[in-house]
Amino acid sequence: MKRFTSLFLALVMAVSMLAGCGGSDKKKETEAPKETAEAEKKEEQQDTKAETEAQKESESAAAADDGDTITFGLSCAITGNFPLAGERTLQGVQMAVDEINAAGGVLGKKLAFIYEDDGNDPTQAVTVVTKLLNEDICGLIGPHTTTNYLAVQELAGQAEIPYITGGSGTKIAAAGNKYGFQCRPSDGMNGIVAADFAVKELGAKKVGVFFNNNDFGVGGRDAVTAELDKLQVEYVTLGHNSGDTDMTSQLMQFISEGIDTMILWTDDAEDVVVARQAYELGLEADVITSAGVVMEQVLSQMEPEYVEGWYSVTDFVPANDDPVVAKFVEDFKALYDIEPELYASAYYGAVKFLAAAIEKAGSDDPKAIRDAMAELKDVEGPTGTLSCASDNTLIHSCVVTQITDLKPAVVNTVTADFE
Amino acid sequence: MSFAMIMQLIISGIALGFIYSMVSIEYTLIFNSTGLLNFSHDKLIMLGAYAFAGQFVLRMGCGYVVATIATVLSMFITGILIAKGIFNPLRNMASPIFAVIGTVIMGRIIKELCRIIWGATAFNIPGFMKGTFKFGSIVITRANTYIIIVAVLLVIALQLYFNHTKSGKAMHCVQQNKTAATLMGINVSQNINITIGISAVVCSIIGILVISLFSVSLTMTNMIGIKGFAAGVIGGFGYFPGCIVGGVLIGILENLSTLVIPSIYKDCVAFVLMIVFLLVQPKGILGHKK
Repeated sequence: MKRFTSLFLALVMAVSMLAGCGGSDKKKETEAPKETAEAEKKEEQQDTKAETEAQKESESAAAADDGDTITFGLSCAITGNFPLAGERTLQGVQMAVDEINAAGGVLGKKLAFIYEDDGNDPTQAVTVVTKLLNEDICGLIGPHTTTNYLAVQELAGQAEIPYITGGSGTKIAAAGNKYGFQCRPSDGMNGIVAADFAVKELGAKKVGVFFNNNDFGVGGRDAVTAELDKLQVEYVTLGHNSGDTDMTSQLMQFISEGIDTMILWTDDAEDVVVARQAYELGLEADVITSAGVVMEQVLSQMEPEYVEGWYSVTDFVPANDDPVVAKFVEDFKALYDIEPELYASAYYGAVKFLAAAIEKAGSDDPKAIRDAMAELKDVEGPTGTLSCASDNTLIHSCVVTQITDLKPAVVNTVTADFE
Repeated sequence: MSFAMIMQLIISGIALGFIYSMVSIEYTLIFNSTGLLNFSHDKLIMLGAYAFAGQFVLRMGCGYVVATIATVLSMFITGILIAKGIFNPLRNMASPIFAVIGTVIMGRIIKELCRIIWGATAFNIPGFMKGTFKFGSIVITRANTYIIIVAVLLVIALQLYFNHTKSGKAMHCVQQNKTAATLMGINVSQNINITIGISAVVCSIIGILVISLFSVSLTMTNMIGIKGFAAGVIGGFGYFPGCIVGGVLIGILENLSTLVIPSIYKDCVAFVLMIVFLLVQPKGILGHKK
């Protein structure tokens, strides 16, 4: 009897603890320590609202598909090693869906989405995408990153559901899946732009190419070195691994090689380490980086002098005079009280593109939507105009930005030819 | 390949090596006292960094000294709670696997709690341990200097505590024979609680020291957690001087290895060394026999 009583008491305690946590933790979900208390409060409220709305929508879509809703699936990393990307993705997608519904929805029906957390892990991505594909969805957005795309693209292809990702690796187009679409500029293009900018604008004579040894970094390195070969400029390539925290040896090798420009193709966390160590070790070279460095969440981890004067080839910066970008930034700030970054903007654009494709197809049949996507051109989005090329890439322009006092500003916009 | 470059690689290798050493010390403490491995040790380091930077410095606006004391105290209490919640109840179960799985799961809980409390955004303390000392063309960062000094002081303090205080000596007894220690009137469970508390304090110190190097993020300690383990194996498992030797050796060798092999294979050095030692010299470099 005593045993049962203690077991019962333990259960009651566990349940009450969980209930307690649920209430207060939810509020705290997206607090960032550096923001002011007021901003935090507002953000919390907005986030909670957005999430509950998203949940409500997904529930309503899943529970009662009464023919008045068109539903798509979203896989993003809410937990795991890249949770901020997932959070911003969800915010961007939610905002796009709300705007579309406020303007009358698609085909006279409400647009809704079901989201799942893929933890930025290819194995989990396969599980959640399998689950999403078994729901009644007309299209799939996410998972993010090239590696995750490659893990799930065949599933989406076999299910004949059109799938838009924000991974930027060259392997996405190379996989040749006719159901897969890429809503951010491919590293193939960004790499060429970076190399061209280094040689033609900065007059580089010897370039150090520093890449992350993953699908993203290696794709970027290949694009950059191919262009440097074409321009007949000398270069040295060195790599590092994801999660590396000491780049001394590579940076020292660059210094002793006497490079005048460094092209850095890596992820957010490594950007911060390289920036600090390059400054500390006294690397005297112009630096051009891949897209991530211009994001607020990356710049806020650095001292201004670490990245002063750095260039970045990216798809989105909030400080842009372009009216589409300016309106998007203003609306996003009004809704969430934070500046949007490239994940929010890219996936916002992806939803707009999907909605336009549904309208064009005139039905919510996934196959018809895929065919409509393949022919769809000129959908305005904050990361540029989305037009489908023969290799299913949607964005064909990027911006070169320069960072001054931790603020990136647009130097140049480059648009590529596509067919 | 200049002399300055080799010196630079050695110096930054030593600093990183001392971090591996401290990680190695922190879990050796628990291994010696309970015979179990704490698989959430890297998450405790991360928790220390979040508590210091996220909570005490940025949210509550404490000075660095106050924040350090507050972090160390709160982590000591956390360590004791972990000992009471996981290590003590689970260490006497049929298989040590229960306690090990308990620590793995606790690591995940700590990580997701940090995400819920402090958010997913990586952040840093502006200006914290910033700056460099220059000797000719060799650069030593302020953070690395602090790491080396603190690591040395920490080892001295731990050695003094274990060899010259009553409770430290009691820990030795517990480590050698728990039954005999109980018969001698030592409270083994309480002893384990304090040891794990001390281990959590070491974790928090590592966490504070690496903030300026790694930024505070949910993945900041992934690699040092594993390399700290390799440091223990190479230096001599369960023996503090071995931890230091193993850690510093890995730090220097992996940096120097980049002179001969591509830098992306740098991480392999620690693990290849660990396997070689397990096969050839399982007692580690210092060959300490428990």
